[in-house]
Amino acid sequence: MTASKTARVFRVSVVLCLMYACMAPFALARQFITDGFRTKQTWPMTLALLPPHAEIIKSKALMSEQMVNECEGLENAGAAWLVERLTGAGYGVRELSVAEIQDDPELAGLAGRVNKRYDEVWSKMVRRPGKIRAARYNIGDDAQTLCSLLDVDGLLLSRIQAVGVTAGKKWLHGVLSLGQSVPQGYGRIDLAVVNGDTGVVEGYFNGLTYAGLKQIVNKPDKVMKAASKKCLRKYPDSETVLKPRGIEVEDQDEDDGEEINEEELMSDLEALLGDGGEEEEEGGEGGEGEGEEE
Amino acid sequence: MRKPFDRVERALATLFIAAMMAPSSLAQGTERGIYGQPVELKKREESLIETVHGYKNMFYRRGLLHNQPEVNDLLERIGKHLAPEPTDPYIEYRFLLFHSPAPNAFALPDGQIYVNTGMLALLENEAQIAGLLAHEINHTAGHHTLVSHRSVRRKIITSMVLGPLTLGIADIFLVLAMFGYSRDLEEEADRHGIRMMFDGGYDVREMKRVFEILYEDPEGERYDVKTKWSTHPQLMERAEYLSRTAREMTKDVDVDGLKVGRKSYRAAVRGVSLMTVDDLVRADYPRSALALARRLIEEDGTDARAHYLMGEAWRSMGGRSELVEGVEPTKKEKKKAIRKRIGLTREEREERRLETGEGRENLEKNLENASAAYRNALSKGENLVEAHRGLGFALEGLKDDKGAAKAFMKYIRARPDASDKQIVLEHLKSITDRLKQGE
Repeated sequence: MTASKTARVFRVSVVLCLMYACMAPFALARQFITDGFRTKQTWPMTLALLPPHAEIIKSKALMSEQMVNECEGLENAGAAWLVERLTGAGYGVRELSVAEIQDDPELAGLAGRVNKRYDEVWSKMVRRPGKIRAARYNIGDDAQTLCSLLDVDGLLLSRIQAVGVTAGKKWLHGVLSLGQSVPQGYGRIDLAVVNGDTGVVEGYFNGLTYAGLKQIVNKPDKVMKAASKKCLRKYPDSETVLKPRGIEVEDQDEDDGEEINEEELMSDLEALLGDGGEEEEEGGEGGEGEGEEE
Repeated sequence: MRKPFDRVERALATLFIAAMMAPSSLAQGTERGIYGQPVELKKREESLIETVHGYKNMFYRRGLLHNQPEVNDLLERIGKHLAPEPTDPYIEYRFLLFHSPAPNAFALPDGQIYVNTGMLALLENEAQIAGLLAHEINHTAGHHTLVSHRSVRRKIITSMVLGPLTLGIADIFLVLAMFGYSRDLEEEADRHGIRMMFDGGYDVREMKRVFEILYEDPEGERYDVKTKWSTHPQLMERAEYLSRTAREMTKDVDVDGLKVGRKSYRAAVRGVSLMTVDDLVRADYPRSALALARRLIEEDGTDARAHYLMGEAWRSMGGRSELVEGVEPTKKEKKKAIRKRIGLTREEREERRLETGEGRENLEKNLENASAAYRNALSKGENLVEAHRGLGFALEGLKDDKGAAKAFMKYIRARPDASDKQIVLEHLKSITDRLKQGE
């Protein structure tokens, strides 16, 4: 290889490395948001954060193990950093604690159902995140009811995954791959923003930071600080309005967010119905409802 | 003349085959549960037990523990009656309710035994719950988790050594060996469990019924996969061998003296059963919800809540049809249903159903059945306010806007502070706009 060719190869390599280094943060942080969210039409300004759910895997040379006792530290740290960053961005965030939820049976029931529904939707969202932009994921009436009970515009639902690689596994992989690949541990946080009026997932954000096993276990605060920063990197602050992407949303209700005057509505209905709104209650005719008569 | 390579090739081939078979041979011999004596923990296993201790707190934080004193006491009473003395200091038998509509129960190696609320709702009597608890207790008493963990670890090491030598083919036998071992432990827990149940004074003929109940498939989405890859022996095989065992055990015994306890059990778990219907509706298993609601109405037709939940189950059927009794969906149809459930959202699945004429007909029929069930609930005189709301949704779906409006208004008036009032008001607003346009 001539000197000029060597220099050219060297320059190209440097440029490629720099490009990779610049793209890495983008790869480690992704977000999907609806047009309504971007343009502030369906953008919750006051939010309630349900306690995050964390999972920690200790990746060992032979068998991986789940770490359960350490999850609480990661969950508390994750919640605290999400609240701090979003409050700093101008949003009103109410953090719900486990004790607060468990003390109120109605709240506990709603929170439990919302979490279960979110887990069902989450498994589809992570495989087809693009559909988030079309407002295709909805976690149902319980989300709306919960927001109404808490008097907030929306909900924040978070899931945290952390994988800590033991020294033994790193050594083993390093030896077997002749130093070519050494597994790395990480902490990852993802966050969904749910519209309290419709139950639609308006935004989904995630961020990942590399971390060792000891850091995950002993310094969850540090790991969550870095992961939450990456996760919320593109979460717009409360003043910013983004341009829409022009993605069509099916079945959008034009009257979303309009305040309903209950008294006016009820009197309109009484006038339309004419008979004072009395509903027939007696008897179940036909159908499946008459078990006792069989 | 014999070529020298023939002997070498034969030797290499023999070694190759022996290396492939080595992992499965490790499944034979001493890998069985260890009963009646302590098992000393190895250093790496101490952290596993520490992890297991932490599960109760994790379930509590996630709201997965259900507390209903009457049912908790029932589980505790039966469990303590059956459980042996713990053989190790880290074992303490505790019997806890896990809030999930799935019919399941599980045991942790430190003596925590969890029974799902959905499981309790389906069982018919106290003897069946005793059989289930006896099975789970034996997983702990036999140290199955530790034995399994040690065995799997040995096999993984073997695989790491032999796998590359056999081009990965040994891994297949390894996996077969691991799954086979898991099935052996399940059978062992069944056999020890039925003995424990008998010693506890329960009618062992009911153990078979537990598996028959688990085999029922109201949704039509589960299909048998009889392969070596199954970690559990097939349900009906288990029901068969347990039935044979029960016949032998009760040959010379006065079976009338054995405890079954149907009425007291069903009364104790009625609240949990009603909750499970609601949970099944919310988890989008409406056929299962309907089957359970029917059963609850058969048990007590005067219960307004059971009729209301029947209405909720019918309404959540959407465009689905009821499965015809005696006609099981084909395996292909079941697989298709599962693929849709995994790949599509509920809204997408319902959209596809309603694209067909059959789906729209089913929707109308289901909503009519729902309306009848809600009206039945209201006729019981218990003033179950939620039934007005449900009726409103059903009538709105049937395009009876006036009827729906009346029902919703009753709900709002009866419950002015309802958390879901905003949702109902939005529906009322839409109805008002439609009625005004129709004028």
